Amino acid sequence: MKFPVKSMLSVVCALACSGAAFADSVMDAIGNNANWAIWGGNYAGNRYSTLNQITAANVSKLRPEWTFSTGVLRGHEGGPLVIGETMYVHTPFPNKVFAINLNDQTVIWQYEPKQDANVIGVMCCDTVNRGLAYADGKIFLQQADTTLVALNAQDGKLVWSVKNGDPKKGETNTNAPIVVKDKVITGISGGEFGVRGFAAAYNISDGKLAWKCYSTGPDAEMCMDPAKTMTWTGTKGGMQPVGPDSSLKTWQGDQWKIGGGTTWGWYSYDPELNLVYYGTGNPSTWNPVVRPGDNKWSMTIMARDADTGMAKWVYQMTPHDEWDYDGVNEMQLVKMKANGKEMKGLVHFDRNGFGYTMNAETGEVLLATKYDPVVNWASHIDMETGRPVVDPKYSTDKNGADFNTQGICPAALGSKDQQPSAYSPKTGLFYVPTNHVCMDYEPYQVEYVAGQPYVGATLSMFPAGKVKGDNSTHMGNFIAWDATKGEIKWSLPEQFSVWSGALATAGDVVFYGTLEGYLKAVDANTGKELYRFKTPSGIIGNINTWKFKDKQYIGVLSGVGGWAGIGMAAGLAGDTDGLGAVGAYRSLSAYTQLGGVLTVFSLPSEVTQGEANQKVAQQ
Amino acid sequence: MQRVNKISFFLSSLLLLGLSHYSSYAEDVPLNNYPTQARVEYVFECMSKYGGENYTTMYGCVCAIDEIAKRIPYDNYVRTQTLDSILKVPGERSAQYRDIKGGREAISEFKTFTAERESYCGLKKPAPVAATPANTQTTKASQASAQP
Repeated sequence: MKFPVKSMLSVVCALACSGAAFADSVMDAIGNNANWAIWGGNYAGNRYSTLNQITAANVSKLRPEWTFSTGVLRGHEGGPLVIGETMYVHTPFPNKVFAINLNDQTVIWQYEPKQDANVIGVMCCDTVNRGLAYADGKIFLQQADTTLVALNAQDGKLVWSVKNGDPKKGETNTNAPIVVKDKVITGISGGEFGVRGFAAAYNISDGKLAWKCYSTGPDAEMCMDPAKTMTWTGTKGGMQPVGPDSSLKTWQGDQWKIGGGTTWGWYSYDPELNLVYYGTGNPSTWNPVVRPGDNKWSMTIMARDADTGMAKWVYQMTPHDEWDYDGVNEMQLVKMKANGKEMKGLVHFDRNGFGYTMNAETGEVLLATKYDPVVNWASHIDMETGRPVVDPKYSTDKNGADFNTQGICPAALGSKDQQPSAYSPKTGLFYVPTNHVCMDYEPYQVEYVAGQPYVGATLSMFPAGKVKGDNSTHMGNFIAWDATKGEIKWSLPEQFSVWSGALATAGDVVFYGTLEGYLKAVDANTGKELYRFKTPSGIIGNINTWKFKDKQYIGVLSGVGGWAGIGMAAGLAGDTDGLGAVGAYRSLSAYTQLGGVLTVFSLPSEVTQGEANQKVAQQ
Repeated sequence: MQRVNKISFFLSSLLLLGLSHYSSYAEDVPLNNYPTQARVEYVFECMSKYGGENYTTMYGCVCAIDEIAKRIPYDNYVRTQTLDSILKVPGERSAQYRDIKGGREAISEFKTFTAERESYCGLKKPAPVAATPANTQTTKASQASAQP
């Protein structure tokens, strides 16, 4: 009997490597630089595009080409995905999804889930959503009420849905899921409500739970092997197994059950190592006095096997958090040289104000330095022990409950919040949007009630200049960071915190947004501002780029979540006509119903064609 | 630009907005430097607030933005509006802006000033539309926004 070789292979594959085909759909989509197929542009979370039509030389000629109004008022985080001729735009609660035909900017389909509005009350930090994932002809949306849905990318029809948590217990979702091979991986929010954090993987074919691994608790529930899961203990101890009950030992009694360590940030993946990377959030409650111990594994970088969830290595950045420095910020995976050797690096800008350069394969920390010099809660990370050296003056624990600890830097939102940084392999630099804010912090006693806020601290925040004593009043910086040295290359002061995700491109341009609503383009080498455009509202979304019909586009959602405009909010409350309309200026009623707006930029054809002709002439 | 940066952040808008301080700052302030886009946005919003698109509201709103641009440097105008929008964001994020020294005062002075200039330019709020199920919400909202 003769079989064609090709079909033999596929039979073997159907039996042995289910999921390989799905992996290809994500890898293929990412591999084509015309797409923006995943939140970070690639699995490594680099937010870098090899597109180079828009350059440092011509970006000043950029102009808005089209706009799309989502009709939703709240804060718009994340950014749209582009796959082929279709763009997928998400919104904050009620978590609408629009599929837009890039040929004529018409809406192909719209999905609006029915969610209990009560969930809004248990979301700590506005009803944001950080975006979608794409794989295998499906769009994945992680709704606020914890429902994870798979939609048919062609027509928006619901393929399956699954409950990832319970809002009654304070569990909600804001994160963008990530698809790895045949699974979609997601996390959970609700650290302010005493939720016990976890990461979970569901089969993309049917939504069945494949694995679920908690941040705290017994080893088996955390998918940790006491002998094989490693952690860095400083240069002296090196890499060590976490040992049995590594979490339980660091909590008093049953506190780990409501211990936080939520997982609402960004997920990265290394296909060669088959490891998924993410960070865990603050331990609950905010009052550190009532939860003695290191509170593991809150505030931790996790590296887990994508197929099983088993933790390969973990590293806790802020043991026994006293300031709410969630460790959930993005994990940048990069090729880099350390001690003259090629290495898989992981670079992470934590809320605690330290920039970590690590070995992504082993979990060893190579460097940890302050990326904002004003950071004072710890003097430094002691490389010998692997632990931060906390300044007792700023220890809200030592100062105790009902004592107001003053002048702590950074503030609870961190030197940087979730807004993801960008990395350019061309310059070797990381581009980091930051907060430059300090705080006074007063913890107080609270009782835990499921579904109620479990915070227990009063905060007051102000520009870092007050602590630094330099009379500066700016509350943000946009910095370029050299992760091999742990040094700031350049820093651009911004009046307001920079809460938008950055983008770096092969055209040597770096983009970011500001709370005033400016989209800014700066020179990747020098930081010199090359272009700015004022969008309708503050930008807390991420800048994305893609190519369509030989043209490079830049897109960003604006919508800070509060509206200064006089008539806008009023109009929106009463009327839903024209929502989701392409072209915010189509009519006055559309204009007054702004909500979040996606603004899409490109170069005028004159410029792109002129440059193309020049190239031909030179050849 | 630099001149504005020297003055402390929100306190600057506070002082620059106050009419009594106007003369002493007149020479320091870059006058009438608003981009066309900002003027158009203001006029559209203003027309919507004062009864819709017609020549009467347009003339009044054009007059008002000219008045505002004469007295408030563009950067301060943007900052005050930005702060106003951030303070309306629920949750942890806006918390970091709630305690800004002089912030709320700057916003309130900004609103009083613009309302005064709009009134000077002859703009009058339209009478509230009789409440019907269809427009109840809009009416309520516009009444609410008329409060200081």
